Amino acid sequence: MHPRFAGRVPGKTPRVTQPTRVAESEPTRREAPVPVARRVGAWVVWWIVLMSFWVMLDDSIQFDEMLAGAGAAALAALAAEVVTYQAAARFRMRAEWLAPALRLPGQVAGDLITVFGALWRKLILGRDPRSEFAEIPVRYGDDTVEGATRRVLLVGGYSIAPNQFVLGIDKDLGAMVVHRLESKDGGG
Amino acid sequence: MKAAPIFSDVLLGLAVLLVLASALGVLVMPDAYQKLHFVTPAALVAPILVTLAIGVRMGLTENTGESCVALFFMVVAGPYLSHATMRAIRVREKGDWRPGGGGKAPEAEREQ
Repeated sequence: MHPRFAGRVPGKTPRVTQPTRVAESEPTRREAPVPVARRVGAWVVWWIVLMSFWVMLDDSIQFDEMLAGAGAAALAALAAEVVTYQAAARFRMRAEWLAPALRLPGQVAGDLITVFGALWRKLILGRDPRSEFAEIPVRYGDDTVEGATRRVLLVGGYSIAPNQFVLGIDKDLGAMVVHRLESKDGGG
Repeated sequence: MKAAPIFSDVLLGLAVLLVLASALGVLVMPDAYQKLHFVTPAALVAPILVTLAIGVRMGLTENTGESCVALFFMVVAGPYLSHATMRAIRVREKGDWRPGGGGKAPEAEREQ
């Protein structure tokens, strides 16, 4: 028997209990049903994007190639739509959030020097890197689509340079937990 | 001799060196967290150099466009793969990635 029905008394409505704590990494549950037309629209958008990628990568407009691409894009669009629906994932962002991305090339270049400096010291001096887990204060934000998108972008943005990777954003701490290969306070 | 092919070869050479150095880093670093930091140069920076080399050599062609599309996916997916891998290592070690979730507080957790 499925656990959902265990202990159900006939004639009584089963009581649904909420989990005591849901990790922020777990997918959210959809609270309201999505109209079919909207889901079809999302599938069409996915299909157009994926078909465009097919044409660009396949570099051919032969009929049979296009037919194969249309089929592959349809399947991939279906999978993408079903996954985003099941996970209740939506993406909404503000343009100003992209401004800090301009600093990323400089950060990547700087971190490359840090990381390969650590490798050099390991190879020449036999000294292990001074790695650390650290907390970076960040505002967790709300549980709206926009808030979730902001956190996703924060995690990606802080994980792109090689010296630092994000483990997650702790709501209770109001901080982002990161691992650094070389700590900021004097790794060299 | 034109400069573009030479510049392109230099970029490709740099990409190869970067991947070799990253492989060395993965080989010699003592723990999984530290090894993971050497994946980014090979998975992100080297592909950028290769794409630049293709762009310099071939100009604005379909090949360059295809390389840019492939690079786009790598740049977008790379940080999240690193994040998910590091988080999985942490959860496997401590049971939770959070500071209080079974491990010591991060401040007191310096590895060396």
